[in-house]
Amino acid sequence: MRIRYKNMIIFIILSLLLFQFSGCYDSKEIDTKAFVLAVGIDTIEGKESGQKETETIKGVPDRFTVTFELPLFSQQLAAGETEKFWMLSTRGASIIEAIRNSDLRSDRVLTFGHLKVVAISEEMARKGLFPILDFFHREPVVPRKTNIIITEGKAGDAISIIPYQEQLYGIYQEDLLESERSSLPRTAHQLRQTFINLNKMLYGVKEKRNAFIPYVKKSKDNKETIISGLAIIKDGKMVGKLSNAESYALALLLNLTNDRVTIIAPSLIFPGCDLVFEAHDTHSQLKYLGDKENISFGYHVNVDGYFAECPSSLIKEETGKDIDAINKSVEKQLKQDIERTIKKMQVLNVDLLGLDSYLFQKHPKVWKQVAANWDELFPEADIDVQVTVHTRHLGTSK
Amino acid sequence: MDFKRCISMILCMIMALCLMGCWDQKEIEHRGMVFSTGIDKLIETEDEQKKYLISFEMPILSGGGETGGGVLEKPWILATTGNTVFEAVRQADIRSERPLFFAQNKVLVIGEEIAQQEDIRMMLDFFLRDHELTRNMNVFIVKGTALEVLNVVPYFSDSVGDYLRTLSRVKYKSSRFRATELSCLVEDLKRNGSALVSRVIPSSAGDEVKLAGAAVIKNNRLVGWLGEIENRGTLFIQDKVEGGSIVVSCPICSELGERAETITFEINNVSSKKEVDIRGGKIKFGIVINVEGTIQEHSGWQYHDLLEQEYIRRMEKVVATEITREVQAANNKLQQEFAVDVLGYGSYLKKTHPDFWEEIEEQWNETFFPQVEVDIHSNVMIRRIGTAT
Repeated sequence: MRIRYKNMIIFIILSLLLFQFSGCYDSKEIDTKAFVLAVGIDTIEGKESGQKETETIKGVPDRFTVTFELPLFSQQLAAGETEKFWMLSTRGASIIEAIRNSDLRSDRVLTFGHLKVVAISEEMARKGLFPILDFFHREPVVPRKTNIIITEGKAGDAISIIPYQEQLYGIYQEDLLESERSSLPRTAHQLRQTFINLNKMLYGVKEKRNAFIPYVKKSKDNKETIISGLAIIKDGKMVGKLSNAESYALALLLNLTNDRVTIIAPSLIFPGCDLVFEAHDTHSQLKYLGDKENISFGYHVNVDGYFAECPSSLIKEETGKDIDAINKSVEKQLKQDIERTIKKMQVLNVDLLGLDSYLFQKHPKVWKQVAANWDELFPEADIDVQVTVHTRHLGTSK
Repeated sequence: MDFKRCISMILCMIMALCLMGCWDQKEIEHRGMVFSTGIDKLIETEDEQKKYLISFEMPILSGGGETGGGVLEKPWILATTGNTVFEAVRQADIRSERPLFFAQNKVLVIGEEIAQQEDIRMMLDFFLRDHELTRNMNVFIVKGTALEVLNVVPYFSDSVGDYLRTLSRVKYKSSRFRATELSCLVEDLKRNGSALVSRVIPSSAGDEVKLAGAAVIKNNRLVGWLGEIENRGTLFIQDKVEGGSIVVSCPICSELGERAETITFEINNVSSKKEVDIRGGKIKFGIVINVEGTIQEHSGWQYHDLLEQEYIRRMEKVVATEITREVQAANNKLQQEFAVDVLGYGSYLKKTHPDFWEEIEEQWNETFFPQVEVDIHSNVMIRRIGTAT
């Protein structure tokens, strides 16, 4: 009897083990998927506006033109063929609807797990980013490290370029944005950073919806894209631009600078001659200097770097002796840039520096008093900037 | 002893027959594989009185072995004419050095004009009768000509046949087209000569097609089209919806006077039930559609918190109204405009009320069906809201 019982147990265990052998019941083959590398989002213009791509009796009108970059793998290409991707363009009232429209045309299902770039046209960004970003926020498959850019002109055209060194635009753009020599703030290109900026919440005030996103131009020969500063986002809408130098000033204040950034400053001693300075270590400190009546902040920015190039070797020999003059020249240039950037933000009334959260965290008593009318106070706030530059070496020449 | 020898000798001779090897071999490179077939109306010429222009897509297979084979060249689109499909096949055999082989034929594409003018059963007969052909092949009707579709050079796939067949497998993403198999189509046609067939629209650039909507077949001829959203409406009634998205305006945003924000609802699970009531001589169908799904996109996320229970309930109602409207519109079009019972109302009545069906069977299509009252009700449950609030 006991042996029988034992056999029964063994039999049950063995038959349960059979379930382990059921194999690929939920397999998903890689060759049934189309990996989207870049998405370009544009407004709808002309006769197509107000209509729907989908045949329907009534419905929410289309809002976006969405272009997908789908790479083709080498096996699918005939010899001598050069095209390596399919630019699939659809329209929809929401991003999902545009994706579903593309599912009627692409035999492979669009997958966003390897998405590299989300490009939004300037026109679309000026209308508002919230309707676009919701999909990328809500969909669990989209990586938070995906890059986001705002393009001059149409985003669909910008992501259709054929770069020189890479075969696919998505890879090229990602490498370009992640470059350690970029003068933009370190995390500006990440979707994650944009979500954090747009979701920022402070007690006592309405939610802050300010952010900065890289602004990119397409070259005329359709071979490259040029990063040209940042787009300023206020309440989810693009309101202005910062140039590359101004973006670096913002990065300095936010302590988000990249490792090796080139600064070009006119020499104080030799008028008409530009010095090239490479910054490798920066640090900035923020202090509240005001009292209960006036609001005033002080920034102290410390920049370490080295003297990289002087267009004329003659002049370099002279300036090399006077490191102080180099420091002063760069200091002056940086101070100008930073002050111009702050002024721009104050004119647009967009606080990208996070002064409100600084007050909330470090000076809660002051914050309690100013929270209600911070929007009026910020443009008037007095922000003092001091820059100190140290030239650490002069390269391999004198 | 002699007898024994004799037996063994006979046995050995019989066994020798087994060693004959490949007497009936058929080499694969001597076969002209057909991946897809297209049927069009032949534009009449003076000397030819043929009915069909039939085109075959034959991929040019090459290589193999260690380096890996595959299709590298554009397939051969062989177009011939004939009064029947088989006549055209024999015509093609004259021109192709490899005899046409249909076991891999997975797609049949029928042009718009021929479908309107000729009985579809006549075109399908060859595909049902020939033993080489499989009955699970997909049938499409083109808005345009079949030749246009066969000439498409797709991006991902090697052949149009492969492209169309794979495309019809992604129905679960949108439910905006139907995948019609030959065997099911024939069953439908046998019942009352009407059916819905998937529709394919070739792009003007010739590099892709759009698979959307349905062709309405009545009395074995093409009578009109259903749009892609209407097609999903019919799938709701047939309980065949597998997915898809529904875009509606945000219920609160419009109240607050904010600009039109949209909500995209993604269908995950659908079950629909039919009921019939024939009391008082009036036939009344009730259809209840239960839908479960996800909020996939909410463009007004800066205004509202999706964690509020009441807001979710309101959204469910808005989506349910939209689904009811969509199904109602599709049903009305089939009932009033085409007067064609393709959604199985007749066969449901036959199953549930066989006696009553016998009485009205003769007049069902003309008299009864367009008068039938259909009451549609839908319930929506939002199960998830994604990784954002």
